[in-house]
Amino acid sequence: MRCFRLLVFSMFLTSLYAQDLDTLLRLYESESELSKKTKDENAGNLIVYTRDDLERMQVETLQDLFKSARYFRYLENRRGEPDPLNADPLIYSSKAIKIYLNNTEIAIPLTGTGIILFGNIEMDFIDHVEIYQGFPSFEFAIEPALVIIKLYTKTPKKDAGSRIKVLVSPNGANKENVYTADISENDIKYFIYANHSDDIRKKHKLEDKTLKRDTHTNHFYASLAKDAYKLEVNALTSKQDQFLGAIPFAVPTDTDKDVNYFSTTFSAQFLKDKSLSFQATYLQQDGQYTAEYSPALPPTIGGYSSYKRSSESRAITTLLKKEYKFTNNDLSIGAQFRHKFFHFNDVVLDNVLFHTTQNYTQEDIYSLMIEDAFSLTKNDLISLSVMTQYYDRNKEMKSESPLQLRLSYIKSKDNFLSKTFLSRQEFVPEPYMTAQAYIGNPELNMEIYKAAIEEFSYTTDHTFSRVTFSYAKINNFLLSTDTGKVENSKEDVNIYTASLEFTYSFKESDELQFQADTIQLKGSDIKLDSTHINYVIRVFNNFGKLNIFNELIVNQGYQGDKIAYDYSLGAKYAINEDLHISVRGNNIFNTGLKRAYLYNVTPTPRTITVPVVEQQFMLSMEYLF
Amino acid sequence: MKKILSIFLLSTLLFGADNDLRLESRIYYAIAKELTHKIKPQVYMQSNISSIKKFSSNFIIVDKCTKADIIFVTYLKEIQKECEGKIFFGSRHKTLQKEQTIGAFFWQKGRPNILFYKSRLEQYGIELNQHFKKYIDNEK
Repeated sequence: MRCFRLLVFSMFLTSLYAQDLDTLLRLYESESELSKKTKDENAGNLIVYTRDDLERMQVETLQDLFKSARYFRYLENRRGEPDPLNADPLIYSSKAIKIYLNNTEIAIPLTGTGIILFGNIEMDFIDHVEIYQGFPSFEFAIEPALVIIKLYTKTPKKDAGSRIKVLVSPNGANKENVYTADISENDIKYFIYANHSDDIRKKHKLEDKTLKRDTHTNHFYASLAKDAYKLEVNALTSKQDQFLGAIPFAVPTDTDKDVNYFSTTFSAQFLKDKSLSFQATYLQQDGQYTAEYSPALPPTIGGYSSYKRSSESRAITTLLKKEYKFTNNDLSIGAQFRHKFFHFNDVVLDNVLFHTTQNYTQEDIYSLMIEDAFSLTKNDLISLSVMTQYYDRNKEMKSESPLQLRLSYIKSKDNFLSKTFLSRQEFVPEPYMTAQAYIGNPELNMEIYKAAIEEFSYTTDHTFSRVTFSYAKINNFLLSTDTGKVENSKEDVNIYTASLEFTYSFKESDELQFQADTIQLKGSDIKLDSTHINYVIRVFNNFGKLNIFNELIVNQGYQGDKIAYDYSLGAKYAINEDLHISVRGNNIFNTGLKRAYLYNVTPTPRTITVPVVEQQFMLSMEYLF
Repeated sequence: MKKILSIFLLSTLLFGADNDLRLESRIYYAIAKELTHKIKPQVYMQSNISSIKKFSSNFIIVDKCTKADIIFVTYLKEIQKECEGKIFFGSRHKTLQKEQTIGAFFWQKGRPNILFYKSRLEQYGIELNQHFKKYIDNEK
């Protein structure tokens, strides 16, 4: 059989060469997609957005992927911050979604995830995206995760040269970025990227006040690599209007959050087979939040008209991993350490400083991981992973020792693939839930997730089909009370999911994609009971130098009986190989998903409903040189 | 999801792992064959090009540049005086900085490129067939 395949392969290539070197180059370009090197099917229920996908979808920010990704929507919290799992009206819900830039986790100490800052990051420096759902492999993270999003940057090897891009929108939003990359004669590889963007959004009038959600961002990323050593720097400053602000008792007249983020990572691989890897990351984030109220808040709420508070956080993470390859199994052993420091500075009310106490300011996490992937046959892979952590809060808080277990079985036969995952994971509450003076609760217990997940996929010459379904049970689910304090739910929360995907490629570059998914939450707390159903239809068409993208997203169950329709259309025209011009409309009919946010909790709770992804039109141009 | 799903699937089923390297080696072979007019050209590389090293059945790898029909170069310093007059072909754009290199196959601006300089081909008296014409450019 093998010989036959090689013979056919040889004939196929000969025929290709005879016909068209272009086809060979195109095939080579497709086969050289970086995602083929980085993706790990055993690591979870995987969604890959290749570079080609990102370009044809004209993805401008991570929001463009989130809003249609299986089981997730792009959602924001009451402060206008990315919070895709937003369920609770007050607390941040997406701590279990971990985001990575290459192999570095953006682990902001206060929230436990970088999604809050990078959940809507511009994608111009990104080559491809991998989303691992369903309790992904422990190989990635020092702490457990529900979902892992890996953003892989463009590389000097493939992107030698420079690119400049400008985007404008009639509402004043704009984005400008540039990158340059090369490999020097002595093999030093570098990639340098800088971006400025003004995300201007519609203003909303409420009680004679104007609520804003604009974000102004400056972003810098650079990498320098030689042989098996790599140094990366990622820095971002953001100035954001915080919409309804943190307090649900009144409508603010003005809210602002300034954030400065910086991280640097050194990574190295050792031994001839590069099976020993080391990584060290330093990360810091400082922020300042201000809110103005007029008239002042009622005396029972504090009676102030101006609120100002800053916070600072730092984290150092080190990782050492060794991989052993045997005849039938691959064994990975990893040890990680993370030191977190986080501090909420004293609060300033009406320009008067008030001292507040914080339950604890630092946390050390020690983590050990072992994973063995054993090939029963060449088509059957079984994998067992165990990870344990020790959370040391310097005796200021109770220490925690969570244990994570994961079993996976993957079967492939011809064009058929099935994946089964069983997992049990314990999530330690993040510092913003435990250490913060007002909403923090130092007595919180760990959440315990137990899940079973199944995936089947089938591929033919022109089609790709996939079905997934899962069940998860959560003990000690974390949610906020009416006063904002975080508590463990007394009863279990059950989550059921199911999805169906179908892709049909009907011409060389034309494609139809369909996706339907549902996620149902059942909990004792009425806030959590929900059934969400989502449909996505996406069509790609190519007419020579013109690429057209159509997308319809239908969301049901997010806003009562109302069904949301988000239709987006994009067209990209290649004036020549190096100059491209694009137009794109998001949520063109302004009928997309809306979200209700709580304000004036007492005496009568009220809500304001606003679009999550606003209607927006964009024109962009990019030039490669 | 995939630009050319059918070709991708076919290639995946047929080729297995390292498809990119296999195809890269095949492209080098097409170039070497065209430049040398040999079915199995003798190739010299001072720095190994991984695709050619791994999928070398179409080539005869030689240990000295003087024995080679074509020399694949990765760095400028690899263009040695003792082999001047041989065909040098680059695996990076930078190698075109030296006029001994008549062309290169390289990644740039996110896409793979093949480039031959017309004047250098003429200098070597090489005329490429019509499949290669679109990759010929004037030196800037």
